[in-house]
Amino acid sequence: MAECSEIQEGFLCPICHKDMRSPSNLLNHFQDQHSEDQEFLKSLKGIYGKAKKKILKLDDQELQTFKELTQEKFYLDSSDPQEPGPSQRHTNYFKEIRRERLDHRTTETNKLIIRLDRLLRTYGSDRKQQEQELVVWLDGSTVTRCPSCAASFNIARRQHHCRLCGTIMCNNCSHFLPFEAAHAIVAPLNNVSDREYLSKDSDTLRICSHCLDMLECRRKAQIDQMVKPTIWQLYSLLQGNKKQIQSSVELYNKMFNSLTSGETTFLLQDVQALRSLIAEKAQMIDTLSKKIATEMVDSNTPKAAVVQSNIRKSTSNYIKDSLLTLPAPPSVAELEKIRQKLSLSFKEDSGAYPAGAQPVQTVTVTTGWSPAPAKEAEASEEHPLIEQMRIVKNYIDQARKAHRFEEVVSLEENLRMLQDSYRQLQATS
Amino acid sequence: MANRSGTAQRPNGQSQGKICQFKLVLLGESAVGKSSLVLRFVKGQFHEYQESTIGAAFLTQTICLDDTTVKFEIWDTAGQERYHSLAPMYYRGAQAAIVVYDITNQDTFGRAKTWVKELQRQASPNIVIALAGNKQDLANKRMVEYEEAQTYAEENGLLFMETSAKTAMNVNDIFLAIAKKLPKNEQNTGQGGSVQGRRLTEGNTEPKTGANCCK
Ligand SMILES: Nc1nc2c(ncn2[C@@H]2O[C@H](COP(=O)(O)OP(=O)(O)OP(=O)(O)O)[C@@H](O)[C@H]2O)c(=O)[nH]1
Ligand SMILES: [Mg+2]
Ligand SMILES: [Zn+2]
Ligand SMILES: [Zn+2]
Ligand SMILES: [Zn+2]
Repeated sequence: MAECSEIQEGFLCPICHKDMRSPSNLLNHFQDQHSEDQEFLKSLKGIYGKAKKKILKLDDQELQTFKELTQEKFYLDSSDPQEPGPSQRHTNYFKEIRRERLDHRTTETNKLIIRLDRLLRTYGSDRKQQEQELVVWLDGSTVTRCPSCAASFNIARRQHHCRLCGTIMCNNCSHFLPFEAAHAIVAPLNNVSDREYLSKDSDTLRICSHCLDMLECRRKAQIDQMVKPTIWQLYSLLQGNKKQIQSSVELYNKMFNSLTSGETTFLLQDVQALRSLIAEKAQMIDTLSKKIATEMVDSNTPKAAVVQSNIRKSTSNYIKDSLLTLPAPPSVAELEKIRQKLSLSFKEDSGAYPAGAQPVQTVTVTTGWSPAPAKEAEASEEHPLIEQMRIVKNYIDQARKAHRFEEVVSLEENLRMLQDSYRQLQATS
Repeated sequence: MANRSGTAQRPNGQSQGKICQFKLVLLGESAVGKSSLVLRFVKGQFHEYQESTIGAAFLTQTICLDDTTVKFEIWDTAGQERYHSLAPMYYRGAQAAIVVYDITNQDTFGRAKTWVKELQRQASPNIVIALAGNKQDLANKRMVEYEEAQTYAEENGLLFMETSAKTAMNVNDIFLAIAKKLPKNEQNTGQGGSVQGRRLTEGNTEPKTGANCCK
């Protein structure tokens, strides 16, 4: 780029990188200064051969302006803020490579474990020979220096072999794995008393740092798998409780709605009990989220602190928005009122009616009224018409008392009809 | 029935707050759930041990459809044979009828068909008839197929829904569907006491013949 001193543009000499400013200057310079590089000159001439005629027709002045123009243009282009180009996720590529590496490492580690297991079974005076049968030891005749620390081998610094991979190292670079630790690595879940190995626990196994590293990694991974961090335990407890709360809330809403719409399906005390259960659980998740937020943070993972405080925030928001807003169950007196004077509203399902028709926005159903139902008549042999007249007369009384005057009108109308019918019946019989 | 029709214009408003009143009758075999449906619609309640109706019970309920108030005067007739003679008195004056059967009982569907026939012959020609297959919550004991009832309803021009007074399913909906269908059959035949949706007077009365309700 023009502004970057490290990258030059122009008619640069390939040997000394001077900018010669024009092809003719460059060729002259090259012939004068670098005549020893004749091969290069030939190829350079070849490169410019075709364009040469055309380019050389322009004088140096023209070339200069041409170059400045193009550079200026380029400069302007690159200084404009650039739109971000198409981006590509490399996560999968990364994962693929990582998986390959992990697989490789796992198989290598497993090989070591199998060898270690066998090595732990070796015992007796010919142990060294048994070891060499299990793992081929590298031939040290041509190895003059320790591959780890580069110290030369001599009578004082003798060659040693890693029992696991057979590689050569000096004594300083050797590690000694106690058999006890080795047992734990091979069978971490085995009971300590459950010994099938014949080698003594005080024995150690000489291994190289590479092998030790592999075994260490595996042990750590196993420990991580078995021992869940406290935060993990708290969080899964929190999530489990939250799930229970959610289904309780659903049930509570259902029961509440049923109760306040005058239904008798659920008992008031059941609704109250469910609500106190939800309150208890809310208390519990509140405490859990507080614990999570105050749990010690590993300084190596600063994001953990953010996650912890976010868990706390989202939990208290959940409690505030979803649990504290739960309506309290009605009192016995309120429930009685609700059952007496019921009002319910529902939204219309506009899909149920043909398109084109003006959709009804709101539908409210209110002010239902009915007189108390008639009691079974003592003398049921009574003529149904007479029975009904008695019922309607009773309804009229009730309607009047309830100031349901519209109903009174309708009922009186009905009573007249009944009386008419009865008169007709008597006339014909 | 006397004509009690009038405009429902507010003192200083035109079409606002229309109030329509309709008579609705429930018919059907005993124990199919007529009273339960009405109780659910009017009071939002359901009783496992609903007492069998004596004679005909009376209830009212109001629905607000946007700015129109539809008031139902409901006559819940007794299904017992003994009270059958009362039924004509209630369906004759009605603008709407719900004929109820129990989907777990084939006989009640047969009885419902008989009621529909009787309505078609004896009731007002403009009566809106809805067929309700009740106790839908007991669909596992179903004896009347949905398709069978639906086909029958289509052939006879009936509104049809399966309902459950117990779960409230389709209960408000069937009354609503009737309310929406009613204003379309407005011509007051003035015969046999069949009065189409009469308007209740509100404010200054402006008597008018041939009440046009809810248009
Ligand atoms: N499972 C279920 N039971 C219902 C339903 N509707 C009514 N019942 C029950 O059926 C029985 C009869 O209901 P009613 O409403 O009294 O029936 P009805 O048609 O009014 O009967 P009559 O008054 O004798 O004509 C009652 O025990 C109700 O609890 C429903 O949708 N589902
Ligand atoms: Mg009944
Ligand atoms: Zn040069
Ligand atoms: Zn070394
Ligand atoms: Zn090794």
